[in-house]
Amino acid sequence: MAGGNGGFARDGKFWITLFGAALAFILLMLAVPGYLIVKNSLAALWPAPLERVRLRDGGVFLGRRVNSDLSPGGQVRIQYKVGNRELNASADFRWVRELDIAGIDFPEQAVALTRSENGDFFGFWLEDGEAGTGRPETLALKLEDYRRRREAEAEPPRRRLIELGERWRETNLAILKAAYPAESPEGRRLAGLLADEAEIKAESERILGVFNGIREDFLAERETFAAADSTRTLLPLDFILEAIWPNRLGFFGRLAQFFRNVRGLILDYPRSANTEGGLFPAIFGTVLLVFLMAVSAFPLGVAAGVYIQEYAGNGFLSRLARVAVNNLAGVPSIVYGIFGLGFFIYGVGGGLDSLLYPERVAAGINTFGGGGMLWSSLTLGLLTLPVVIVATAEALATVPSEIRQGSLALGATRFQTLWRVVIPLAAPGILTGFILAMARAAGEVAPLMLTGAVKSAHLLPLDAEWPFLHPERKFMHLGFHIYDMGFQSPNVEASKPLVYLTALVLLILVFAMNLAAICLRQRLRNRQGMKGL
Amino acid sequence: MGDEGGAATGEAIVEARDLNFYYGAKQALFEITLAVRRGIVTALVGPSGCGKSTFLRCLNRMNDLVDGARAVGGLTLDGEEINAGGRDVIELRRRVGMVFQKPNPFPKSIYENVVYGLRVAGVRDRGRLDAACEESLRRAALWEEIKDRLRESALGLSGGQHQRLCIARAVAVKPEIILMDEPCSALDPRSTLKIEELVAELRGDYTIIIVTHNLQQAARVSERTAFFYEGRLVEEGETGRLFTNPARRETEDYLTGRFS
Ligand SMILES: Nc1ncnc2c1ncn2[C@@H]1O[C@H](COP(=O)(O)OP(=O)(O)OP(=O)(O)O)[C@@H](O)[C@H]1O
Ligand SMILES: [Mg+2]
Repeated sequence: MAGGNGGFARDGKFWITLFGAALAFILLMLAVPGYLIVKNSLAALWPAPLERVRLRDGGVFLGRRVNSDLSPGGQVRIQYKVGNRELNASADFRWVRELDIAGIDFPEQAVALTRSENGDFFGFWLEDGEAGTGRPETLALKLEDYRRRREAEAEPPRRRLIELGERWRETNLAILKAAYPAESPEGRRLAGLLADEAEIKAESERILGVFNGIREDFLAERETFAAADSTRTLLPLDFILEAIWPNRLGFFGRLAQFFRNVRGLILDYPRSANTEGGLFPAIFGTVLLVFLMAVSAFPLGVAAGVYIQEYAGNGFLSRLARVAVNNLAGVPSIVYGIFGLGFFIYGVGGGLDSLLYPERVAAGINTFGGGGMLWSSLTLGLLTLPVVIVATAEALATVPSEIRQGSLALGATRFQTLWRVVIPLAAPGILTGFILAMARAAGEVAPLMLTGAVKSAHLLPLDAEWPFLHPERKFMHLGFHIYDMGFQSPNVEASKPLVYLTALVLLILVFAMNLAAICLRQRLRNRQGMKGL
Repeated sequence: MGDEGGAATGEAIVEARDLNFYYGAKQALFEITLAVRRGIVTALVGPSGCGKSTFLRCLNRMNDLVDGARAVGGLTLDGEEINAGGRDVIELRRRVGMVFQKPNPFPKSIYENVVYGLRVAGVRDRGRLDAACEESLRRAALWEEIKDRLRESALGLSGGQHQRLCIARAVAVKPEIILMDEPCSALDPRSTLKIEELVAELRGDYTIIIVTHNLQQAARVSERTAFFYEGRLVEEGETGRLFTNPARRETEDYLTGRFS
């Protein structure tokens, strides 16, 4: 074969090369965004040293180097995160040309504060108002002491306020109910409720007064900090969530801080209009959403797939059903979102509301008739159903007929054959289809925007409050979070690192779910004694 | 074992009378009249496509699975019509076991494979299942080889062991008849020999109908042989006689290899 004219094309090397190139191209298309996401995420989490940059024009600032590139003019540019939003006209980042830099040093005294407002602060602590004297240990002690006192004094009234708020909400709903319809015979109950409400309100106001007093005292405890250019600023200790001295950290100190940052990312709530803080509610919402989706779609999809493949026969109607299911898999997800909004929220949810809570409907309050976890997960379930059905039918079709016949010949009924032999054999294939469907659903955003995902929801759909699962609550979602921070944020530049981090977390989550499903599938196969993937 | 009701070896257990069989419009069996005797091994031979498998699958009604398949004529098991309208197919298949050409163990443990027929029949009693498993595996000459591996997947066994496992599986439900459709055609000579020994071993307790393309095999294992040709039964008789002194011209041509 080889050596002759056109041997390259004829012996298939040409095609093999072409296929290889296609694969390489695809891998590249995956690697580039993957690299960008990982690189930017690590840069955002790694506590790099703070550089004091002196510019040739006399300016000076403290910043953390995050990026560098070649500007259009062919100059090397460096991007710094400079923080200090309130001093820098809200710009968290700053590009400088290498040319313009006169000198860089790493002052030991530089402190990086994570704040509950206005993002990070990079500067110096002026212990007793004097420059260059701030010692880390003293600030740490101060913060610790401050927090202990705040916990002891301000926490109890704060908790009580939250409790009262919840009771007030419940009482109000009860009042609505007792007062509906207007001529209800429950007048006395209503009077009692109204008295309760007045009492709750009075206590709330009283405690709020106490709380505000305490809070003001606490907010008055302030420390002086200075930016690199000596601009002084008084910061309430209350705003300081964490103070680190990056230039004093060794490698292991940095590593420890890195992991603290990772933990914060996963376990903290977002702050400052989602531009700071962690992703906890979004991670939680995403996982719960996918879980509820799986629970609703999997049994239904498998049952439908089994029926189509095993019982529906090959008549006109069943062929029509197959075509319909296949086409459903291609319907854009936003269409499902609109369907979910119209059918689940307005239809089913509205119906439930007028059935269960007519008094709330009359007052214009939604319970199930608004977007929520339940409707979102059902909409996603609907979206994944076709994939699950098709995968199930195909997996069943690949079970060899000899195996079925073997079972039938032993006196098993069709259903016993299906249940005991065919479905276990098809299970790995069904699971594979389901994995794909789940991965798709976890990254879906469009339908969620219409059915209950929100930019900020501090009440989780699952918590310690009876009845624990609150399927009517709105929720946060990683995919929606990316969209919201990247395109809807008042400070897009500031939220950029979090956009990368969110994308990374979402990818890891999808990857972990896939991995878990693959392990499950592998275990099923091993149990049947089959080898390989 | 198959001799309940005092029926003696040698009496007819299956009787076909003018049996015709159709796959849709295509007729696969023509006017088959044949008595299969109890407790012996009957071999079905004949060229490819002559209807041996079709006949076999009429006996446990596996042909029901084929769309448009239809049997016309008499076919009885112990005098009862197999194709009768109200006939319980599940019960029929428990009485008429089958071993397929390609070994088809289930992707389950060896133990679960053997007791499958009992489980689907609703047997739950652990002791009974265990006893049936051991007895069937012993009958299939497999017990000593795999008694320590009962919980392992059956798919880990060799091809020959697979086929013996399938025989054990069929034996476990204590059928009267075991149908074997070319049970050795996917096996190597040593495994084939083992299966043949097994058939000899099971003879007497079970009625065995075996389809084979291997005439030596038919001569070795069977008491009687039926020769099918183009959907018709040409000749049936005592194996030794049929092989040495066929009554019909087609039989002789086939035996001497003039066609296959
Ligand atoms: N499911 C089916 N649908 C239609 N025709 C069939 C079907 N199964 C078998 N036939 C036809 O019926 C005839 C008899 O087939 P059968 O399988 O019984 O032959 P056989 O003697 O077992 O052949 P072989 O020795 O090759 O196994 C053949 O012509 C075959 O093509
Ligand atoms: Mg055949």
